[in-house]
Amino acid sequence: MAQTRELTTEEIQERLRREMPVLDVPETLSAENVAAVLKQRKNSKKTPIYVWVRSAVAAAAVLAVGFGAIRAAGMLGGKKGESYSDQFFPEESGGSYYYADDGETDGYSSAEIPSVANDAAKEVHSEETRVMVLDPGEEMVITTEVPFEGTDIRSDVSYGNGTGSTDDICKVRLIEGDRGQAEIELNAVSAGSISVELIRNGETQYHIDITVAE
Amino acid sequence: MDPELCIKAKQGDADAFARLYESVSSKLYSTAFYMLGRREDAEDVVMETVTDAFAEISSLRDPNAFEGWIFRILMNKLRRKRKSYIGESVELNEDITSSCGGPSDEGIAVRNALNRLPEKDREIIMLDVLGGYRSDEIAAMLGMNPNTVRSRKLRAFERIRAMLKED
Repeated sequence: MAQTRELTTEEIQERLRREMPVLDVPETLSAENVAAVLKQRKNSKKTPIYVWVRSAVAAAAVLAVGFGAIRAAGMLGGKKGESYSDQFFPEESGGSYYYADDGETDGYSSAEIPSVANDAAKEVHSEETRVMVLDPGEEMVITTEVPFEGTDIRSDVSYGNGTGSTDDICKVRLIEGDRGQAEIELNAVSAGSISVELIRNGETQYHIDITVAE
Repeated sequence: MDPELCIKAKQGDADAFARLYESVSSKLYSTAFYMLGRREDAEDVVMETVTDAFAEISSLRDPNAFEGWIFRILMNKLRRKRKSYIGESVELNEDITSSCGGPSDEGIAVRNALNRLPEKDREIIMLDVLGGYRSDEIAAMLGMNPNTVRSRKLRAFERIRAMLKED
């Protein structure tokens, strides 16, 4: 509907508030239900590693984690300049969700991830979140399928420290790989979390959350 | 934010965490709902946010930063969820219009204008309108410079104003 005069910013804010009122949470998201869900997860049967595979494609990714771990441990050792390819984990695959649930360290933690793979390759993939856990001082190169040409990298301090420079947590550098694809060089510094995005033509092509363990 | 609750939550107390969550649950859900336009997806994303936040709360150093911190997790998840919608229409779906008492011309126009903003600008406006957050608080949630948030917010409102005039 055309306006006969320009709205002020306050009027636009007011109109948006009217059109988008703060909603009551549905029952599934009530505090009681959330507490019950969290307790259920905490008290679930103690299984060293619980792996939920959502699809057959994701199952392939699970095998690839093991393969990647062996490959990383045997051939790469997490040393600078050597690469750990994530070509086996296409984001659109539907993903798989790993978490270690020992009743104490619920969720994915740096203490448990090594038992999923090993110290050299510690990755957790969920359908929405790609998380990498590094130890301070650890260096790694991630090979992506994103073309290097025209790609920018952006890193932000994520949750954890909350503020400060990403360099304080993990130094991140974009480099060109052998096949012209973008590679992300990581140099973990100290505890905290950052998110890293590869951006091409204004669109995020690749996203990874990196946590440097305490 | 009650520091005692935060300490208990960090020790793995689910009830304490749920009480912390309760103080921001409506804002979290509303933001997710209006950003995604799909009720079920909004519920899923908020629940994922909550479980991830509970798993990671030991890394939260300042209890007063809880709200910004959990919103930051939510916004990251929303961004990725929206990315998965590429090629699908999520504007003005039935979930949103039914939640707002049916579509009105004014409502359609202003929500269309909001949906036509770049992703980052839309996030800023949502947090401004729904949460009533200041620019520096939004900056912390989105990992941006506060001055950038201020300038983008001004520009976003100018764009909305221009779009409403055009429509």
